[in-house]
Amino acid sequence: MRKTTSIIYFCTTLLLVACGNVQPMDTGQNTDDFADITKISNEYLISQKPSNQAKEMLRKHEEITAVRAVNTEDSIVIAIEVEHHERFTLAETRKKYKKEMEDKFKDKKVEFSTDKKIVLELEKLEQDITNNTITKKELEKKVKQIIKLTKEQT
Amino acid sequence: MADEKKKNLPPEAQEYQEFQSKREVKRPLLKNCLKAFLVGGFICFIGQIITTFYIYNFNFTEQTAGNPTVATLIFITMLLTGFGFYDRIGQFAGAGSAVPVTGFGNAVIASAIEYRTEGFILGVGSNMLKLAGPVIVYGVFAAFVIAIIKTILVQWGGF
Repeated sequence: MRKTTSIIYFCTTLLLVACGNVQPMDTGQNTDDFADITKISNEYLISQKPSNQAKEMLRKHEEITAVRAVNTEDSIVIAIEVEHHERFTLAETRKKYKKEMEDKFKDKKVEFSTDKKIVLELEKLEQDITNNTITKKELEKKVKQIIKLTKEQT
Repeated sequence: MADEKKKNLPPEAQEYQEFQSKREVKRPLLKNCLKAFLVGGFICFIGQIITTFYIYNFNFTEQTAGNPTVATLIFITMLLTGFGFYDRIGQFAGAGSAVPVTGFGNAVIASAIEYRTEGFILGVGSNMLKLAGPVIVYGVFAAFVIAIIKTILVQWGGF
């Protein structure tokens, strides 16, 4: 009886360990350099050219799986998602890419985040801009709110 | 130390100890570890679901969602402790249910329930943190020691 139980537990452990080594699924996002991005083209509001440039630059990095970015006239907010195992060195990754973006956009205030919430908020904002359901004033207000959110600490 | 004590015992007692150590049921260490691992992991999994829920539905970031998550987990523990279900989880999982924050909540809430009959001030008030107190003391002390080690490594070790 005890032997059987031990064997069951051993098998469970083996199963758990074996499952941990699964190759990343082919979601079409992280196979090539094609991270999940949406280019925004709406020239009626503030031009989103800097954001699109940032997305183009960041998508080339292998570990980045999604990039969201929105800019106003004086600031740009960028949020990225990285591959799961890269999250161990999240702080370093963030620092590295933030510097890259700051060097690129010297005339703008760069806010860089790896937070899921910021990614979600920027995704919503990108959609609003594309669908033209937001005014310039609202956009600026929303960006300010997101910047405030990135600065929140526990 | 234990051997010295053993030598001082009368021969009958020594014999008896040998007798009982041979027949004692051994603790299933591996089984206990696995149970603790699985149940503890499951509690953390629930915590992760709650965190994700707060991030998606409320104005919390990954940084700030930790606070309401802990509060929610402790609230759930409070209900489970009150209904007497957490004891069963504790008996089954051991450390798996004691190490996460729910174990801390259980220690506080169980004491509060137990000492309620002695009054709210001298009973609940003074005994509530009897079990959780040492956790705070040694938690803070451990954090202090780790902070010192980290400071030494970062400042002088160049890591």
